[in-house]
Amino acid sequence: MDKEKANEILDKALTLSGADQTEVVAEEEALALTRLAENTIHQNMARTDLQLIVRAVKGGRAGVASRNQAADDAIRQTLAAAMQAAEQDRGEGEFPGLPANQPIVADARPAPAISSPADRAAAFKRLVDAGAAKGIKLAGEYRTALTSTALANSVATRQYAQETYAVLSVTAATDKGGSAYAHAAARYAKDIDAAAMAERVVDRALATEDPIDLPPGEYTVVLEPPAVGQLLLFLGFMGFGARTFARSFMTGKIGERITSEKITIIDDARDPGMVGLPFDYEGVPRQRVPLIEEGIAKGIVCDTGWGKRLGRQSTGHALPATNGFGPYPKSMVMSGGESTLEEMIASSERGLLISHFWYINYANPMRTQITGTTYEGTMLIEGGKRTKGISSMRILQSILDAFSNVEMISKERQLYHQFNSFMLVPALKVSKFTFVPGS
Amino acid sequence: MAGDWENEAAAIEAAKRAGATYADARVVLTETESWSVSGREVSSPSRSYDFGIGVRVIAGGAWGFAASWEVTEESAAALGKRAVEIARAGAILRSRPVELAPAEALTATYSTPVEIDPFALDADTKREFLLGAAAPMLDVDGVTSANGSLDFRRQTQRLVSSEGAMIRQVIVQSGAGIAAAVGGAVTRSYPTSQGGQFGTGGFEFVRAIDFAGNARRIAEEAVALGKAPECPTGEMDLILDGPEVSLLIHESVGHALELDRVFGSEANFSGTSFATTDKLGKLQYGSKTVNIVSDPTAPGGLATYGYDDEGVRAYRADLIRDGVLVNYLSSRETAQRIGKTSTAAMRADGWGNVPLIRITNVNLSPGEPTLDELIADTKQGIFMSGSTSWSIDDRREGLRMGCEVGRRIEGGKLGEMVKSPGYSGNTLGIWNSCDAVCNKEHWRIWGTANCGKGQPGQNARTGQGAAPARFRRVRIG
Repeated sequence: MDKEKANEILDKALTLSGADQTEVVAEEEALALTRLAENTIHQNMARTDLQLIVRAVKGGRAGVASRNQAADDAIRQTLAAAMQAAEQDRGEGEFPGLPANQPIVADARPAPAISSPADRAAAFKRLVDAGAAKGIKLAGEYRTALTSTALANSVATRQYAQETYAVLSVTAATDKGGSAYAHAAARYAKDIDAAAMAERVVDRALATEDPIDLPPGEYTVVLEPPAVGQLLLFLGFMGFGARTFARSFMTGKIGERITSEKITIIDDARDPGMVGLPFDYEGVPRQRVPLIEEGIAKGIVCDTGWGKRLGRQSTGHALPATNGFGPYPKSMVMSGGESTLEEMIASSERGLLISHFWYINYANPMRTQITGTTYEGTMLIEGGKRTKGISSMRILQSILDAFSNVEMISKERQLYHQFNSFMLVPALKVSKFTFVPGS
Repeated sequence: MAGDWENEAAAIEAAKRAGATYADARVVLTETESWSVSGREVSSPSRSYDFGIGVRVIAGGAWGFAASWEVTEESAAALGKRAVEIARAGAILRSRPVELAPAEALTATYSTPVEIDPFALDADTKREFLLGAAAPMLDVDGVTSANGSLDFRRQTQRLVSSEGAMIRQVIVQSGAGIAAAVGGAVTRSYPTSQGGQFGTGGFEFVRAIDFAGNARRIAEEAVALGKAPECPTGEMDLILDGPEVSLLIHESVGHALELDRVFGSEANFSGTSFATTDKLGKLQYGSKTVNIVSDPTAPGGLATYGYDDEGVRAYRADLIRDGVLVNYLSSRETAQRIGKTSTAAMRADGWGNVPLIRITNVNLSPGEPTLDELIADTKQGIFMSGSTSWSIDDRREGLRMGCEVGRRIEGGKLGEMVKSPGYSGNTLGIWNSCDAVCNKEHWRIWGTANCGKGQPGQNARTGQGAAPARFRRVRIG
């Protein structure tokens, strides 16, 4: 959807609306995705979808409706449904009004076409070829997406941007229990290095064969960037958004130390290493928001509605109006340190090297405690060296405690993608990480 | 839904012309309506309309899929051609050509029986119902928030295949639930903690849920939990309430027996399964008390339908008989690999996703005792309700579950309330320790409206038939 087509849809909707205020979002996503399992491409797809989301404000009440069509009759029907919803609203308080006269956020970065199925198959073939002779079976996902997002409201806010991203993730398994996990995300598919990933997963899968069991207890861990990204994602769910803030680990803590001073987390869609829209789904430019700065709780992200409730300004973090989750930091950046992953391992007398976690879920959100298990490629570190593979172990760990027990942070950071969010994260060395009985 | 098969036919023809050896096309319209209440204020309903076409083909021995929100004969034909191109590109990494187990090419229709169409019902009735369900919680001193939700979904879909299938279905689903909270840490919910109870049917489905008899009770429990001691830890007998047995089935049986997962297709995302096909017919999955079926024909279940998204007629199939693993949830492709026929478990999230094997209504057969009898027969243990946390490893073996509330069982009687109860163990150990399932009076198909699987992520709606059940010597805490 180019800018001209997007403006045609937006103008038509604004012209036809009889609401006091109207907001229209038109978003088209072209997604292409290939999946691999047991060295075979078993799913291969392309999909184009369009979402038209209308928020109508009438008599101080707001209503939302969505439709994945944008012809004239579809626009009329969506407007009518949003108006009806506004009239039926009996919710909390008056709608604060749509954000007016927001500055246009220009994004000059080009958005190239998404990858071809042949490109994705070739990347997987490179990986499979690297491992097949060594008895390694690979599974993975390679996806690319091009999203065109346009927004306009009746109070002079209008935005348009195109975004693209690519994600390649791979798990490897051998008949002797060896395993590995690798993840790469980038704005452009050309920046995904499948050959380098192939080398890493093959080495790791072979190095972790015949894994041993370890007893539960506290261990020093070296967390690779995907594992750190998962912790950050759950921390975000639990308290960095305005909706969850009031009943979270952040409540009453702004200005206080909550982690090691080594930890700084900022939501910043404009970071050169980040992927993300430069404005939110209310058309507000996304601000750089420090969440934790040198261990001190600094702030949360907000949209217009939650801003009014909490007496804050929007920080430009609204999700689509159809979403009930509230504002969320979709572009968290954790500051890097001075170390390398190898230095973290070398400095550990005994510990675990963890690539990724499996099936994390809340255990005690107020304490930021989660549970889950270690995943593919976990290794024992002994005497500063990786020595053996480790069978799956269950964690029961407060994320803030883990971030308080950080000993080293890598300089190099990696972009990690999960649940429609991107995180730019380093590796961490953390002491006293808790493992409990049962896998 | 406009049109009458022309678009699907255009897609199939184009795919065949491009060299597909098999093709199917699904046109799907999904309409939703959701209401929520916070305190005594009902927010504006959220309504969505989602329409499109997905074309799936086999070409060069590999799968290809293309989908679009644009549904015209021209776009459908373009999708058919594109799906073949995608399939051929992927055929360079194929260890064996895709083969499908035989299935009858059906011309058929199916509609969920609906007494009261929730989409035609006036807004005031729905608003008043939701207020009436949630408001009694606010009358309890100490409750700081009372919430509720009401959800309706209607999916109208057509499936056409190159083998001659022409199937039209209309599936209507309804759900509702309430929750009371005290501060940020304590919550009690009803009928389940996962957004409420969901099933196929109209407004009559949610009207049958006994909110009036339970809203005040759960609010009082939420307040009492604030003063309750922590749940004791150690090995002891465990009685799980029906919805918690449902979640245990979902995580440790339903997902574990998805045959695509068993064959590794989710290794990179949703995990694999310990229940490999060499164990079929041999594995003592549970005690002899444990009988589990897949039954997408069960009335009112959230996963009740006429035909799956490969056009296979829904039917009841044993999965675990007298504790022994006897079958899987399967598709035509995976069933072919074990010499069986599909169990009609292939479903896609709307038009824009490929069908995957999804949990149907996976039902644990009821037993004999009442809940009172089961508690009376238990000397010492914990009774747990309201799931709050669930996590299971990537092979569906080791699990850890947390619940909203526990009650001690001492000498066959329910005793003190305890907070933050949870249990852990492994799938086979827990199911083999199951020695009693309550009777039909306690049995429901509990709907799970948010089951995730696949890349891109797909949401499925599943059912698990369950009654309260007892598990001996389980690790608590």
